[in-house]
Amino acid sequence: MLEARNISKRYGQTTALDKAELSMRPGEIRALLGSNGSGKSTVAKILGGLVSMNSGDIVIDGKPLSIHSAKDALTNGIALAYQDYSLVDELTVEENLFLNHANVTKLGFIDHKRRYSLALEILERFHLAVKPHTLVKSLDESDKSLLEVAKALVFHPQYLILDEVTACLHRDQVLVLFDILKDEKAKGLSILFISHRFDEVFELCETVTIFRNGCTEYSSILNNLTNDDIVFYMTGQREKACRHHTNINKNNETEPVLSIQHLSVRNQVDDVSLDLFPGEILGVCGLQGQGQGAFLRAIYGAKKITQGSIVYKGKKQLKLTPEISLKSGVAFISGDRDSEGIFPDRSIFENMNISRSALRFIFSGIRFKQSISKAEKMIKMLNIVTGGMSLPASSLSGGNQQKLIFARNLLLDISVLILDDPTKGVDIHARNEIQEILRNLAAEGLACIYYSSDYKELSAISDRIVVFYEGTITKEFNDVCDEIESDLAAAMLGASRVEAI
Amino acid sequence: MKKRIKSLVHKVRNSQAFGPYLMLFILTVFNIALQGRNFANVSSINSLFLVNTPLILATIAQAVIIFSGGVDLSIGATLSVVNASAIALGTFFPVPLAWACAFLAAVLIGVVKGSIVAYLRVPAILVTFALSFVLEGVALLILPQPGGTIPSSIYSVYGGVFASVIPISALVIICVLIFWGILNKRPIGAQMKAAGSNPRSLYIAGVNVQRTKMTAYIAAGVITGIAGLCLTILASSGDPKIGNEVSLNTIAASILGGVNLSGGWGTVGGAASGALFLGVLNNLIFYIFNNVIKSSTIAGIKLSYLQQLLTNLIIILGLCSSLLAYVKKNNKRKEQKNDHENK
Repeated sequence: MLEARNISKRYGQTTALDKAELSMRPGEIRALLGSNGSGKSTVAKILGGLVSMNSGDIVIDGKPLSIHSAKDALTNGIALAYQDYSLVDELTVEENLFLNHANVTKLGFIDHKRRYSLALEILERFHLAVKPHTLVKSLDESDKSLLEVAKALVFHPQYLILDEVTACLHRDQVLVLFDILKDEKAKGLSILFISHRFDEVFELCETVTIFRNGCTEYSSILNNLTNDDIVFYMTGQREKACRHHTNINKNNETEPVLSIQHLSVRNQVDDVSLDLFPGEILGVCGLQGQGQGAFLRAIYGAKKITQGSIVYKGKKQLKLTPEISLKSGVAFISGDRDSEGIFPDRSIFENMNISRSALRFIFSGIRFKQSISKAEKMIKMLNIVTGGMSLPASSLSGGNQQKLIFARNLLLDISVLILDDPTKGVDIHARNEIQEILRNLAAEGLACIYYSSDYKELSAISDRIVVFYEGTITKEFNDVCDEIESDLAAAMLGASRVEAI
Repeated sequence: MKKRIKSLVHKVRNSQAFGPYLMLFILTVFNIALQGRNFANVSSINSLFLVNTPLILATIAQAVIIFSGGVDLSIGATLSVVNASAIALGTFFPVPLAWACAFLAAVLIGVVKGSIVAYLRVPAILVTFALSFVLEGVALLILPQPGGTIPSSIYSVYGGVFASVIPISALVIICVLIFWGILNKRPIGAQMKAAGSNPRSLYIAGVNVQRTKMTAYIAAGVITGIAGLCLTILASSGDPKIGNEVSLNTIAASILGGVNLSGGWGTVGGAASGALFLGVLNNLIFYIFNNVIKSSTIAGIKLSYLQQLLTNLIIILGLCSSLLAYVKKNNKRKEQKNDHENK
């Protein structure tokens, strides 16, 4: 039996795990549930030796052990299959499966015949129609996920942790996988199954552990719980976030500022139509990887549209690039500050002016006095806490960095703002400030499309919410009130699909 | 027999270095067509290998390091150190001992590079760039002036022909390829490439990434040592600056040989054929300028400059085509994948 006791882990100022508890028994499939950011993946990574914990104990059969690397975890019989693949693209399927496996002859050479037949056996067991000599980079995403599980099983572990491996599997593959897992369970394997899909959890698991904000909230037999119970344990009964809703008069006669018609992006978004009205905050909701990210970037022009059209202020946009979008007044703010937001080593002033100066003629000078006074105004308005405008952007806290990006876009004359999880990794105080800013802007007529991984946040800010599931909008909520939260959670898991059938 | 040939053809077609092999083959055929018996005879093939073996071996060493996710800008300087120490020590000690020391020096340099790159995690390009100056200085310290000599018996063996067909220098290359084959047929072979293309995966698979990288640098050191000794035999004397220009050539040859600079992709055979491509190309251009165009200047331009210009233009073309081939292959795979998904 494997027990993780009092595990705590902090990343900088955010607490990912706070005295979490988890146990795995031989011959048991346990589900690990929790909303985004509740620490599920962190605990998996700690057990797998990828991340070291700040405090806590890991005990196997009463013996405490210290895990410092993936190798330690494997020698103690703990294997992980990762949601972000751990496969080497440049190597073949066979080489990936046996990357760290002996299968050698007496002289230390690889026993190719034996390895090949073993690989064939494994591929057959997982119903994978690929050859052992195929390069991994030519495989489908779904095949890769299965291969990931197969690779973990090659080590013959006693404890197997599956971190959202079913996220991109087809239904028939899920059934194959479940058969294998049940088979391994009967042989005494202990499995921890992390997933967002409730129906699969009920299908496969007997026991469940639910995390909320890095703490263990519930840990017992699954059969006692209903869907609603799980949602309750995942979200709790915290105070409702305060509402900022202004009742905008939804005048049906107003022209939509942005009208999206039958938009598709290859393999990610499938036939989405939407209208966005001035002064409206449209919430976009969905689990990770349901196509909303590609959808938002496609509107902005950062991703190629394969089908459909976008009508902006009554004019059909023929060619879209971020430059054209910004010039015409559509701005994009990403929550992924490091890769799509700030330039950490450049000064705050430069960070703020980058878009504005980029849109002008390349040799036109910068009017420093004017720019600086504008920037100062913006800093005051958004309440950005800085030590000075010439300091590098990395000197700011996450929330202030995010506000800096707001400032960058507000310096332009924009009428549509697209936000992709802008409060990711931002603390609650800054989050409220950002929402306040958005509310004020919307009152002045700015239209926003707001995606967040946290549906509570969405229901607090949005006037209208659409739910993305598998690349398309499956549900739309026109009346946003507290009561819809559980409906939202269900819709995110594709529940409306099931009802429709 | 037929089946064997068929499977061999299949293997070559699907090799990661099919493009470079094809390029080398076409160039060789072209060369033979142009020069006829002048190129396709034992002595001129022998001299082709004789001259190019150091570059081919150094390219193999470079490829091994690139596989593991690094790059080595100090290979040339390492060759200089081997050459200088072999000659300088040869005046005090018996030649075999001196040469063994020179060889060990190359391995030791490999260990140093490996430990800085793998354990201190300094980017390989910085480490080896800085080390190249250090090593150039070391070579000058060991042998301040060009000069010295080697026993002529060694040269006559190296310049000889085995079984009246195979040049001895080519045999050296074959030995090195076998050495790599022995490594590559062990789990460490795939692990080195994994360390280059996705070190995290390797770590997750429970393999010590640092040790894997270290192994690659030591293997490269061994091969560089052999290359340095071959260079010493070829020059038959010492020159502390003899190898300094080679580093970038080995990188160009590696890319020509289908080795991807981002690591994890390519074959050693391809790298060797990339280096040989450079050799055959030089041979061809030299022939054209000396035998086809007979005057030494055209419109007042010295032809030897033009010769270099032409050679390097062709190399750029070759580089573009091998990079294009890699990109194309990837795109093709992606398209197939998409088609598959759409179905």
